[in-house]
Amino acid sequence: MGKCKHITRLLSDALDRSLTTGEWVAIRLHLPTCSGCRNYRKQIRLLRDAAHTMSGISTPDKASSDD
Amino acid sequence: MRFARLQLRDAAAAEDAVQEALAAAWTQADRFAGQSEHKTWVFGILRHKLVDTLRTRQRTVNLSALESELADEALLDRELFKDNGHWSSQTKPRPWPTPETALRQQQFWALFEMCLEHLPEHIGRVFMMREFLDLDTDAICSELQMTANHCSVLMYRARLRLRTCLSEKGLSSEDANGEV
Repeated sequence: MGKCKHITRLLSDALDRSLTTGEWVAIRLHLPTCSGCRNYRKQIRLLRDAAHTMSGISTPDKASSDD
Repeated sequence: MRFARLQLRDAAAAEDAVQEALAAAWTQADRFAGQSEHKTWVFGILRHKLVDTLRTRQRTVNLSALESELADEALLDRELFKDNGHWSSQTKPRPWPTPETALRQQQFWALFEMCLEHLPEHIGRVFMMREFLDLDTDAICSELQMTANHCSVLMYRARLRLRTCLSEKGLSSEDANGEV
């Protein structure tokens, strides 16, 4: 359950749908123990901000403060 | 222009969409005081045109092409993750600059565009529909006649590839927005 391969998939899914309670628990248990997945989470969020900025969906300032 | 071409995977159709957006923008140019405001607005028009174009096309995905693309992804996984499913020590994500810093760096945008262009076809298409055209995953799945699982796998692969590509091309940070 708590493997990075699985957790990174859930972190990606979390940007597109609501996760189940069980899925959140898996993430909450894993993240404190894994800097790689914590960095991954910030990075995929930045990818979204960048895409939204580039396409004019939002400005950089709004994009980085809306979560 | 590059944005349109990436999305439509068709140079002629992309050119048409951009032309139309620019024509519409030109006629309205005096309504805008600032150039950046105007640019954003042009992009907004372009986005709507692209969504329209995508809607009118029959875009059934070739499942065997999709499966072979996903089979290649297993190769990448073997580089990124150890057999036990944890990050391998060389590929474990390291800190990036903060969003505030990165989004103001020309270098970031150059790398971002380059890495977008390197995405495999289906992975790139789904990512663009989701993050650039702001469609939700249900809309994308039904548009492309794919299962919800395929959609979310493709989104996952896009994000994993993009962040891996950006890191490999040298995006890194000494600041505190990440943990070693």
